[in-house]
Amino acid sequence: MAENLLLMIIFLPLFGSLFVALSRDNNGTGISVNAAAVAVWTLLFNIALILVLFSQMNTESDNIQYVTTFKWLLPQTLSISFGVDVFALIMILGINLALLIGILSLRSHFKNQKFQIGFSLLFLCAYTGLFSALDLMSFYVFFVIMIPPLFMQIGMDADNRIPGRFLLYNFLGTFLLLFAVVMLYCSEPNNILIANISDIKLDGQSGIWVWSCIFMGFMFRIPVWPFHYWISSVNTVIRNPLTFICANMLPISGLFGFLRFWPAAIPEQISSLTPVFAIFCAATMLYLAFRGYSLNNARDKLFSYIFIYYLLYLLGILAPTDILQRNIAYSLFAFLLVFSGLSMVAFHLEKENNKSPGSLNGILCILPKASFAYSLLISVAIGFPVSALFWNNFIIVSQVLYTNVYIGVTAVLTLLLAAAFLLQHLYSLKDNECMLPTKDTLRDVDNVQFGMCLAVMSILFLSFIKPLWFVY
Amino acid sequence: MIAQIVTSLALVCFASLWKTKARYDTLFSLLLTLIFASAFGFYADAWQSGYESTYSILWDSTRSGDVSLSINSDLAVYTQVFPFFAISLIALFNNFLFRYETKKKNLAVFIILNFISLVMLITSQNFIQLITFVFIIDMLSQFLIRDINAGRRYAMYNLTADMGLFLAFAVLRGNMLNLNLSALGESVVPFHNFVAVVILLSLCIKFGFFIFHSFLLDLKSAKFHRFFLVFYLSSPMTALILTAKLLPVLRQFEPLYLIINIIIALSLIWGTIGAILIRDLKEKTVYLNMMLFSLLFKLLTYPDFIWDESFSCIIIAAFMFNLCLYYIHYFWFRETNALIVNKVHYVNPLPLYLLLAIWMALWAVVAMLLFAYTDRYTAFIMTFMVLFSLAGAWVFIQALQSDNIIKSLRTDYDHRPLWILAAVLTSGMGIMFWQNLYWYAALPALALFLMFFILSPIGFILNTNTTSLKWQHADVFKNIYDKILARPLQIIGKSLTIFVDFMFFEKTLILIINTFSGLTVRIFRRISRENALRYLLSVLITVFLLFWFLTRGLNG
Repeated sequence: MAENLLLMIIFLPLFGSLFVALSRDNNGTGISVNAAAVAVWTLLFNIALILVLFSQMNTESDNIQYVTTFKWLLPQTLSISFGVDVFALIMILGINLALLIGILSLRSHFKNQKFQIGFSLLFLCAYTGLFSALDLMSFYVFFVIMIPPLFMQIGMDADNRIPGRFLLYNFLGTFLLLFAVVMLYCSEPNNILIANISDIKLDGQSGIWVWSCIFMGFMFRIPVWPFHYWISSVNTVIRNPLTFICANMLPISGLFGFLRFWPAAIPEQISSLTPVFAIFCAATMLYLAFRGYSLNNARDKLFSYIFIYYLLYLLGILAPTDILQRNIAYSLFAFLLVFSGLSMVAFHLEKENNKSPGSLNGILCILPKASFAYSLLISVAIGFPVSALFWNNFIIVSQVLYTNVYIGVTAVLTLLLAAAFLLQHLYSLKDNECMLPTKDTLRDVDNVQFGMCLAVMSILFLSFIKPLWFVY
Repeated sequence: MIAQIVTSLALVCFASLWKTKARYDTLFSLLLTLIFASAFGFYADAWQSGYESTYSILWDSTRSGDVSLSINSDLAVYTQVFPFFAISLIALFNNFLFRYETKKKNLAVFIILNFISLVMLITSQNFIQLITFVFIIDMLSQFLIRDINAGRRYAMYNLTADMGLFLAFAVLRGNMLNLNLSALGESVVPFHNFVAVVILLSLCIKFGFFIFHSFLLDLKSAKFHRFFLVFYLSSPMTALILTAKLLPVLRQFEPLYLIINIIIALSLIWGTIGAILIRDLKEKTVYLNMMLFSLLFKLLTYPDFIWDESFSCIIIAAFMFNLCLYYIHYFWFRETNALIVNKVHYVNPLPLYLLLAIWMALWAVVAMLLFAYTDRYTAFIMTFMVLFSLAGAWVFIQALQSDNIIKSLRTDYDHRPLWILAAVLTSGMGIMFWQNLYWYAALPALALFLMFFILSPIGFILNTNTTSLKWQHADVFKNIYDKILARPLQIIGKSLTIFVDFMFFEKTLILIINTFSGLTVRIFRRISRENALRYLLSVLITVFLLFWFLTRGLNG
């Protein structure tokens, strides 16, 4: 029964997207009430299923549960295996909630709503599949098929060559991973479970090639210098919050890849490079922190903030211990909700400000609901103790410091800078001396969006008290 | 007992956050004050009867260790909680009586929540609880300040200090693999010098010591009755509690006492200069508090330090000085709507003379307490007494002896708040004489104060250029902070964005890749499209290369 629930959770968004494709657009205005309603109900139902699955799960255990295996149609030696552990399921829940926030925030962004929503559900389906995949082939398939829906979303939103760049970068990564997968299947023609990769015997040179390709494949998803540029250039052209949220969730697939594959059986030649890679991570964090501090645009700041945190989680994953998995999961879950909520309000403010172009400074003085929501979310984002982000990050940072004190100190400095530029931004938005009289016509966030922000805050606060509070 | 008090007060606070009609605001603030006063009664009773208990709730259990919330009641905790209980109670009464506060109930709730957080900080036994409540107190202080401009730099400075503590605790936790504070005193902690320096820096920011005090000066745009609460219920008091908790780590740092002495000396001198030269009463309060915090910090870091009743009473007395300054502001400047001390006209000097008397009595009490605490007047305490007498006397000299003041006997002032001050002081003095404290220690303190007040040795400053407007508004450290830290960070960030993202990636790397791929496409197109043989040849070369890579290329 529980195994079927997992399959339903994976494929329900796919059916949702089909329904969205069949729904009618409202008189060509771009507003799709039906599509949004279908998506919201799909996500709500999916979230309910996830909670049911959680309630049946042994949350004390770190093992994979609800394992289901099917045969592939063509190569009879291969099979598809699905299953989840607490980390994967909490990530699935987080992504569903983040997407729900994204769809609700799309209410005031009218361009191509139906297609945006449809592709985002496909993206969700692929993402859930990735988190549930236990064998190498399924993992690779889902790792690749999550790119086209996102490419379509970005392509519809941006009108220059950025989407092409996005596709190119991501396919480079997936080709490298493909090479590694093929090499692994050459050595072991039968089904390969990710957990058993360490059992595959590769001779020295092949091992280095395979693991380098796996490493690079995941690296392309995470904006470690010099791969950071593709995602920063994509972020500058995105115009709606749903695509922004989806695009910024993509690096989690890289993190998840590292978590599942690393450090199973890496040849020493590769594993000895981990500190060098960690230095690159810390340097990128510092670079992003400076970037966020110096740029005035709200979205640039948000982007820098998001990727600083992803890199912190990566440093946690690379630490030579697996005791941090839960802490990373709890923190990442809270982080997903925070950045989705922030994106929703930030895009609303940006859109309203376009009515009377100029600085955003002081805008929150006349939008009380947006001000309340944004202040609360920023306070969570900068690490105040109102969500699971706070003390789980403390544990992660302490482990990073234990591994390498210099990298740890750099990480904390970047967290401080990130918090400082977010706080500075909040204060400038609330600066009543900068308020312009022409801004009186601006519209506050609507009740649904405000309600969603309050719900997010409640979830975050409950997760602060007990991370798995919804398990009964 | 403390656990029960904290829980009950927390429940009352959360119930009080419910929105009520404005006309019931005073009533609710009175109710909250009375509830808090009765809680104080229970606490005093438990303290007297020596009731001890330990409560610990498992917050969360992870593979990295258990995180628990602890509230224990023992003699040390009772003593440490006492000043904050008393200060919060006085602040609540003051809030109830102060007619100009428009959100009495909310302020009362935040005072109580702040008090609860301070108690949780005092009773914490692990890093997570400690750092959590440090952050929570900083969040609550924004509600106490309730002014965007005043809270801006306060938030930034405290965030920096909090992250410093976060870093220090994370280093300790990571290396000791233990979340308990009790592990600190057991052996030399790893990276003890680095950790001690970071903690010391964070504490200096939170105390608002010399060069880190400018965020406290910003608080002057907040209302006075909220402004001074921040000093005694928020950031600096957090630093005080943290100092007491983290002394085992700080003491492992060899040059600790030298650095502390330098910091304190500079803060005392700068505090005295500021308190004398600056005319704005709120800024004067900041500088006077800088002196008082120097005293508290120095006492706390004495090698044989014990946080006893005398030390707790010194904290309360320091708060009472602020209350005096607040009443000066309230009686004096409310009437004239002026903020500058020696630019006031038409005031009734009677309350001011009363406040002068109260200040002197308070000063005598502090002298007795200091003597009781240290058993002798050390060089530091004597220096402090001279400088604080001078600075304190100067406040009254400026207010009473300036040529600009025209005194008039107005009688329509609200004298009720003065009763709080008088009542607390009288009871304090009563207890001291009853316990036969060192009353003779008060004599030199009073003599010093009177000497400075009557002789006014620095009276010439009243009419010199130091009181010019430009000098008064100069914020040296804000400019230094901007020039040394904020601007360079922005320049580095912008340069990196331009050179790395724009010049290197966009205009160099991507352009090269584009050009190279375009060139390759053009070459292959030219090779293959001329005739079929060339096309076939290029296909064959490609197949050969693929075959070679698959068979030998990787191993060869």
